[in-house]
Amino acid sequence: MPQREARFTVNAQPPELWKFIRDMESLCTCIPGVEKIVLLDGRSADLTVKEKVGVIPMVLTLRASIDSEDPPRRLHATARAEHLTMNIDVSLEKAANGTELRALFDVTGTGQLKPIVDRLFEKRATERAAQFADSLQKRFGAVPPARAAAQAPAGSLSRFWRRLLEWFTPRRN
Amino acid sequence: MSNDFIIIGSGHNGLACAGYLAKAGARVLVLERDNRVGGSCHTAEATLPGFRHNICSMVHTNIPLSPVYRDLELERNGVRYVYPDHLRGTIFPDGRCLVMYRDPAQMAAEIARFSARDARTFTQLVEDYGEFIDSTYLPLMYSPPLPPSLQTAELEKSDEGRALMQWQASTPVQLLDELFENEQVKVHFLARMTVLGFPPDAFGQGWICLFRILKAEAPICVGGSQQLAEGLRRVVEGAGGLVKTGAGVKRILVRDNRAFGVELGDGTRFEAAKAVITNVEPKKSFLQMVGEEHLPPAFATRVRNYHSRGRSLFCLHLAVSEPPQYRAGADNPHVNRAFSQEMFCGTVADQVQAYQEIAAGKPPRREMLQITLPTLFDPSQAPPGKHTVLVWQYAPYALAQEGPQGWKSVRDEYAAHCLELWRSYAPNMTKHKILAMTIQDPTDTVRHNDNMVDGVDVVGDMTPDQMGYFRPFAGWSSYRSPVEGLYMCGGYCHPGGGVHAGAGHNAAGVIAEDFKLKKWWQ
Repeated sequence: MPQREARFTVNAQPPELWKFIRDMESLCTCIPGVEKIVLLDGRSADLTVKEKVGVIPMVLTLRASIDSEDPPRRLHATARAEHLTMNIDVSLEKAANGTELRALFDVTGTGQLKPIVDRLFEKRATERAAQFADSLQKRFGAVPPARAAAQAPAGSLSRFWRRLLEWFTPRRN
Repeated sequence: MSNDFIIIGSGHNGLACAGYLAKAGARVLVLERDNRVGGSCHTAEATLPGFRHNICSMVHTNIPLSPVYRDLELERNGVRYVYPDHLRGTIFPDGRCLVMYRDPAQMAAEIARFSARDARTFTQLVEDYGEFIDSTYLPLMYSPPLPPSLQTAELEKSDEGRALMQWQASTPVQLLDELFENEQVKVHFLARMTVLGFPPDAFGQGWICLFRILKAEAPICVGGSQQLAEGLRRVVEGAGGLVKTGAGVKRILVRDNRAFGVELGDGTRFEAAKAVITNVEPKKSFLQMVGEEHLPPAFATRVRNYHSRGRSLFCLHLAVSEPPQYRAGADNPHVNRAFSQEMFCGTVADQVQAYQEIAAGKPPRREMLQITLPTLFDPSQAPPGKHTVLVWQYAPYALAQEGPQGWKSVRDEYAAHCLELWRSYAPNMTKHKILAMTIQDPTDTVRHNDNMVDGVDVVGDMTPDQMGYFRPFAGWSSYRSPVEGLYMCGGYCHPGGGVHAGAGHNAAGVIAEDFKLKKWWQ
């Protein structure tokens, strides 16, 4: 089961960031590749995510649900598709000039496509993580790089978000 | 000592499977009929002392990047690879050549010498499909085959995916005609299929052709192919497994539809507490070792119908005093430092016709030649300054009139003819540069390893009806068999023949699941 951790800081106070990530529709505007979202209730939604592998589009239908939360600090969510399950733990912590977001992801490819799902996550992680962080920073304002670097040790971003988010964003072809 | 698992045959798939299971804590016994391990990973002094020739497998395309190499720590167990400067060189009768490079930009530039449009097409293919192939091919090889419905479910959702499905249904020649305009570019890419034994005019192989256009490597096992088998043996024995050579299995013992052991030719019996795993080709495994009386009739029919009708190889092992210098080196000197030089006629039509002659039992008179000099990149395989050469001329196993035995009367003349064909491209390969030669006609290949039924070096034809979900048989591509406790792990299983250990790896995974062994490699 690939486990990945991401940590980065955005220029917003915890309640503001919490409000954003807790609203699935707004959060999905920052997740690359989400084409459609259907809210089922306040805690769950169906997402249609398109990821292109070369010119071949792969379409995933995920059911995401928030299993538990401790506003505005912690959230546990699960996203399930036909060939993968993701467990997501998110925590927000006030930083010197903004909020540090930490996320721990357990990604499990399931069934017969597991090897391919795992491989795709592996290959796309870095690019997609950067896109997600970029989206959030554009929305809330960037934290100066030096301070962000101090708060986010080298490589910490790469682990989880990279793996998850690469999957969700189409390449520019 | 009692055994959990008995593995019949120490080809690289059998040893890989044994390695995984032994490292999972199982008691493993590998039984090998020959006096050495390795099956077609076989290196021997076939000509002169000090000249180490690879009798069957020459290149292990996927091994160094495979999970097997990593999981079984093969490098630590003495298995090392060197990489040729360039991948392949297709040489045309007009003296030009097209060198296959690893770098897509360099490859496109090479194609542009023949056609700017084809170079653009190649670059576009890399952009459009390179990542798709790169993302899917290793996972698909090193996992049990997917049902066709699952494979197509994603593709049929988009125009691009549907186009890929149509390409898959086409022949390699059709696909190349659709993609490229230049005849020599097409010949070059068609050769990518030919070298694997895929007929150029067979339907249902377009996707594989695309894969072959975009994906290539040529790692050479240092010391010869045998070293891979020796490394795998060290893994098995290091994990407490036992490998017995000179132990030919005659029967698989079955009671109440359960395999419980094996009997050797001398009557010695070994029992397996959990399972017997066969690396021996299916007809011998099931019709001879198990016996039809223990098989469901429909399964026995499938086994009988498993076919090996594809092209075979007429091989010359040469000890030479200097490497060949091709005339085509004037066109691109890199051709002399490629893993292999391939001379497969000047047109697609000629190549197709040569293949049809082979299918009709006629050894082609024109060149269907692939030449490799491993010693250019691994000097340890020959005395200092000298080289070994492997000449492959694609040929039928059975001659049209005389059958396989017909080779006895024509092999010397055909060998001389092949050398003349080669010399017409590499004129320095005069008789006095050839220090010694051993002929290996297709019947010799079978004598070396009778898993290569009818000289087909991929353990049964790699045709759409015997690939993926249908290999070896529809409904039995999961490495299990209808006999409980009897599993398959050879090149006749997905992902097919060739040295990549995919079948051994995948079989070990299935067996570990069935017997609740820890899959330590995951």
